[in-house]
Amino acid sequence: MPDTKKVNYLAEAWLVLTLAVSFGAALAGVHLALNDGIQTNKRNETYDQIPRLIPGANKDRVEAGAFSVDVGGAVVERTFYRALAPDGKTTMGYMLRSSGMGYVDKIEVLIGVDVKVKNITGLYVLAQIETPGLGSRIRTKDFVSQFIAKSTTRAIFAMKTAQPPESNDIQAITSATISSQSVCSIVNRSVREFREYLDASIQRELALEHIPEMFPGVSREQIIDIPSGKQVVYKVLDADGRVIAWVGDGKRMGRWDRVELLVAVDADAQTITKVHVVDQRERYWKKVVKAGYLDSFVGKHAGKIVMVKPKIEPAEQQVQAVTKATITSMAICRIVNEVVRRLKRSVADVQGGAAVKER
Amino acid sequence: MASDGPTAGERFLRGLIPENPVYRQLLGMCPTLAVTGGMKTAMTMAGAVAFVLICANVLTSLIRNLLKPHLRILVFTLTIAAFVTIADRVLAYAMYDMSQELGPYIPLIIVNCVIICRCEVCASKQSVVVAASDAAGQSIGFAMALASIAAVREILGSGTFFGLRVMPEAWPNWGIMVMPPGAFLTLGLLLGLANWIGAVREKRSGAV
Repeated sequence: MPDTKKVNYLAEAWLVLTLAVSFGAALAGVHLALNDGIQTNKRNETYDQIPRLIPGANKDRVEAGAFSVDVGGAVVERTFYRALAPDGKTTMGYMLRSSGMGYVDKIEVLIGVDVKVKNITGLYVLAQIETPGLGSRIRTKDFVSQFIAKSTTRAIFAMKTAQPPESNDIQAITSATISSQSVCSIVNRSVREFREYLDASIQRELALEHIPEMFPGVSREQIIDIPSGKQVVYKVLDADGRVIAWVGDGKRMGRWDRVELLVAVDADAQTITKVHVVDQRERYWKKVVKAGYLDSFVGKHAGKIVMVKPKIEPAEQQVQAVTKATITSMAICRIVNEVVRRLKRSVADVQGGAAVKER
Repeated sequence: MASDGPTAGERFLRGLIPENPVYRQLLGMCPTLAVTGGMKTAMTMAGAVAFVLICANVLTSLIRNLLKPHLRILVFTLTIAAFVTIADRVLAYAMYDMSQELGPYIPLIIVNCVIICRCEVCASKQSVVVAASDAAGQSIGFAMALASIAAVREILGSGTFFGLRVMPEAWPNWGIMVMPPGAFLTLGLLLGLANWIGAVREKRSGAV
């Protein structure tokens, strides 16, 4: 008699079912009543960390943003916070919110990075349920403070022994190596994702910061962004609104690290007028500066420039490499050529091609 | 289901010392070991357990005549889980930092044997008043046990009591006391002390 059995089951389970429905309704009510407050608490916990993770930042001057990343075919949203200076425009740094698997379960962290996303300025573990007394010590000040000032251009690893201050690695927590390395992996991955996402906008911010140095007296309002494919070139105007230069940015690996430059051509994109350094960490950079290598590009025709060996006298469209800094010299030359080519193409697009005809 | 058994007063008093959940029944060991590194966490846990225990006992007692014997454990678990979720959400709302500090141990109250034990032993058999008194007594007993362990661990391990410095600055904090081995050591020693006191009292009453 299957039907009778079913009826019996229901008759026996009615109390359980009634309780389940009642508790479900009660919990829904609790959720509705408290969830806003809980979310505010979570938000406050995040915002309270901003002054600690970004030196000099104020939690009231923050812009939240998000970007998507592809993780194993799934689109995952990452949140970040941009700390603003008192002027409300200049960026002081970023705080990234990210998560990843630890030894026991998911670890959620906040990572402070400087405005160029080159160094870590702070780390805070928002949530974790690692082994109490062992992995849970990833929240301690002793552990998280090890990340401060580490470079983001190289991966950070958790080593079992104490690391010298100049090392980019950290010391793992004893008996919690997996939790420690998990935090390192989350930081490495998050910063890389953010660097990739922000590359374009960071370049813009840096360019707007450096172009007035290249052209004294020019304000930010006199610099106009012109999209050029996936990148941007900048039109620089004088006080009367006339174009005085076109500027583009470029970067390339030098001998030791990435070299980033801004290159300017004149209004007709015929002559290189300035080469400006945005960032570099080359060991023999002083030799490059002393040799006047960057200035050797100025005044050259905005066409292909060839680098020659240090002992060879350069011709009109040639520049002489710097002794003991040949690789750096080559990187600079290639960046200049790439940017000039892009600038000419962009000016041609903007001006219908007339302005960039070869003289 | 009969309502015979100890009175409300007896149930209350038994929970404090004679049937103390930690020192006598050895129940609720997970939070006893895990959250007694400091008084604040221990007392918050005791409060959360008290809320769940009292609510679960009262509700179970109210529906005790409707309980089917083979479904009773399911009903207890369902009831306890509901109140634990409420406690967890209220903590996250009102004491967010503490909620973060306690982490998974608040949700783990669901499997705290003290609560299901009281539902089974008392609430499912006795009246609401007796069940509430029993829950109150057991809650206070549990809080006293947690407080005794947490006090020893926090004072020796951190030199503080409820976060306030009580030991001299020169006191070398006994790091082991705030770590898991410290919990086991303290529990073991206090358990031994409780047994010794019990044995001495029994001996004296026997002699009389």
